Amino acid sequence: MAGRLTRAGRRYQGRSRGRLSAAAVVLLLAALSVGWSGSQATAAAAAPQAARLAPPGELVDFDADLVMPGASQIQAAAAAISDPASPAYRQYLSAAAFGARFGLPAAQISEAAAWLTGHGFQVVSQPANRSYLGLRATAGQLQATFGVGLVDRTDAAGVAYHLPLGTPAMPLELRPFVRAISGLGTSPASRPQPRFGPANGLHPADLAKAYGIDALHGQGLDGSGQSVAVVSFDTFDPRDITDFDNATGISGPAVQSVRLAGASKTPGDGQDEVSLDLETIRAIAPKAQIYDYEAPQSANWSDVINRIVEDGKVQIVSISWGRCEPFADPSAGDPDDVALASAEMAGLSIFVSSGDNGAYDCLDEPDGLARDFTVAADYPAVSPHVIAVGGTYLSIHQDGSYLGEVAWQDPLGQAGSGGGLSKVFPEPSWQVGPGVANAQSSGERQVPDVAGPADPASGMFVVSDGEGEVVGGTSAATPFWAGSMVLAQELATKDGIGKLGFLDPVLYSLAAAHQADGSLFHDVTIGSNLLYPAAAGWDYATGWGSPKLDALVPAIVAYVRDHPH
Amino acid sequence: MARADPQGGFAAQRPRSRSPLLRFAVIFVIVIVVVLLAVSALAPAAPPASCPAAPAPCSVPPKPPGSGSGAGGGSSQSGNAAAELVVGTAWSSSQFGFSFHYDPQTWDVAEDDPDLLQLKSPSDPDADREDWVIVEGASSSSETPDQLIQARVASLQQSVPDLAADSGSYYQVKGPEIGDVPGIAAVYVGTLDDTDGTPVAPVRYSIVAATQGNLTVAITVRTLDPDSIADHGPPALTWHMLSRQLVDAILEDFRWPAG
Repeated sequence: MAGRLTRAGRRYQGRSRGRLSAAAVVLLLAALSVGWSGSQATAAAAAPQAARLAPPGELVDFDADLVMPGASQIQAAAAAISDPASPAYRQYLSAAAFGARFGLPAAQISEAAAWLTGHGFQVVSQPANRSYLGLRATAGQLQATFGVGLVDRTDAAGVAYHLPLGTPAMPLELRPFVRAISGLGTSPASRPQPRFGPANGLHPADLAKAYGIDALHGQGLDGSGQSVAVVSFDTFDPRDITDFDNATGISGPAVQSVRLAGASKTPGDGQDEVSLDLETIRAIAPKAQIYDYEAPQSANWSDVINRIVEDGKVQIVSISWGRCEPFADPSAGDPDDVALASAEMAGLSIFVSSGDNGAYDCLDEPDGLARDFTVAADYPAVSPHVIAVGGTYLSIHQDGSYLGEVAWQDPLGQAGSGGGLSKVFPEPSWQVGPGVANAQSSGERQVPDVAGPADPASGMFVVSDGEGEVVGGTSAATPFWAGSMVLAQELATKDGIGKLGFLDPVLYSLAAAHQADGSLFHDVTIGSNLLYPAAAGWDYATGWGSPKLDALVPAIVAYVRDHPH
Repeated sequence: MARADPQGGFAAQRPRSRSPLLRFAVIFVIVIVVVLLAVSALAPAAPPASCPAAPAPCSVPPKPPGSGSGAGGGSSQSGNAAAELVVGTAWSSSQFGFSFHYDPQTWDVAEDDPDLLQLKSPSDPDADREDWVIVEGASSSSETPDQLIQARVASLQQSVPDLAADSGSYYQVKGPEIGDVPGIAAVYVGTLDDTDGTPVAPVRYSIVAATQGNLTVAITVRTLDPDSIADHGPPALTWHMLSRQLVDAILEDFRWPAG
């Protein structure tokens, strides 16, 4: 199929498989490049530069992580909100209420802020959940106050970042209020997870037919009146969305960007990821208002999650970025964890891709120059406050209807559905059901929770940077789930149910109850994720499997309706 | 949806003065026609085409997974008699009965035998690949997966004398399987010599083998010059890894013979 122009100067190429082969090479390279270098990478690879001490006048943004007297109660409180037997069931907390319940008194935070301001630090942000103070200072002030210097470095892709030289020393005056100084290392914190495939891709009509979305559309569920957030560490070209709409015959409200400080206004290497996320949601819930929360690559998870919670615009969030848990180095009670817990307790459902390296999530760490075959899961997917989405390889009939799925794994390409056990976070109380307790279980959080089409061979049709592409990975499965749950939220709204809240406990309850009859999920039992095999019930490759949305969506709404507060 | 009324249609077309046999035949034909019309009218509307309206490119959704250990994967919706959607060129072994699809734009056929198909990267100068893949079968009574790998390695060593097991971990194969049947894998490296014996390029062979029933299968992918694009990124971006990923599509699509 020949390329064609759909708008001046921008080539939009519908590819036959023949044309795709060479193009796929380029696209695959681009995808791998993104995964390797992060969105701030320059086009031309640069040789690593020698490290140098940061000059005293260099401005540095970092965080003072606040003491949270109620931190030890957060996990239990979050679980209680999802427990129909608890008095706290569905008693959602705003970010401010969360902060008031678990954080320091406001007066003590003001005292800490005043001390810091008096020592030359600028307080640039203060989330309502009271988990940290965002600070700005020079490297010299940082050295003088906290006794830690910085070293400036440039990675193999030419991305500049800095790292602390040692551990900050906490001044006595701050110790009652500040438990740690964080954010001094600014190497890219997360990686997009798209992968490119050789087929021409799943179009909205294919997805609708295969997963029962067409039945929901037939009931008038199309995302109208709903909103959903996408977390991006890059941005997109609105013309790509327009082209996608035109190519697929759908329409909806324009995607709105919500840019955090420092976010790029021009698409970078991560734009394929952003386009994939936005367009996949649009394919399923075209009338929903999508907010693209765009953060700089150096931002913390807490920066963008806190913003989403405080804005209060959405109940469903899609995140297709992450990093293997050992390198992300999260900890229970750190500001990122607090932000995610706060989101859960506010009733948000955050869907997160489980990673594309199978059970070996650190394969590309630290810089893709070697292979780390440590068995590891991806963060933030592995957080107990989010819904982790794994990947499958979807096959369909000629009429587009569902035929079957296997767990996604590409042994030679060293890719597959991310899944495994956390080494940090405990298993939440609601994570139960057939298959959950297994020979590998250790009492830690197990992922993924659910799965969707991710193999690039059954990837999504996407328009990005003016070109039609086919993109897979758990990056694709995640907005697929987020978009689908927008339809559930819409049905709940129509039925007067209101907010669905954090959906993972609901999904586990329904999946466990219906595992035997297979009425709500396609239980994937074939394939593996390079290590863990798919199996009946829950498994590390595909969780509960992919959804039968025509049945699952009304079942979710019925569950919430039948379990009122 | 419009719905036919079989009673009215039948009555309006009933013949009047005919022989009993002819009358029966006419009535029978009419009944059949009316029933067919009714069934047609009551049937669900034809599914929308996968291809969206112009100017979109026509969608060619993905091919189905291999059906070796359970066709179609974990579950399927009942009552749908539509055929599997497959793309690419089908090939089957006349000797052993296994089959798979390959992308004719990605691969050219280099050798086609009853037990073996060798595909090579196309001669398109834009492709700039000189890789190939061999999919071969053998009787499981004579060759285990490991034996089939060793036989292939012995054959390769005739043209790559320094061929040796890859001691590095970068290209190791985790979770090897062919058509959803778990197997084993090995990676070998060597140097490809020119006709005059001059070493011209590093070469790497990744081999996956598995067995089911009476059949053992090995899939060998050869990749040249793994560092040819190292200047543009990390080793993951080499043509080597790219070709391996392309062969994954064959591993997924592979179908073992029934029984």
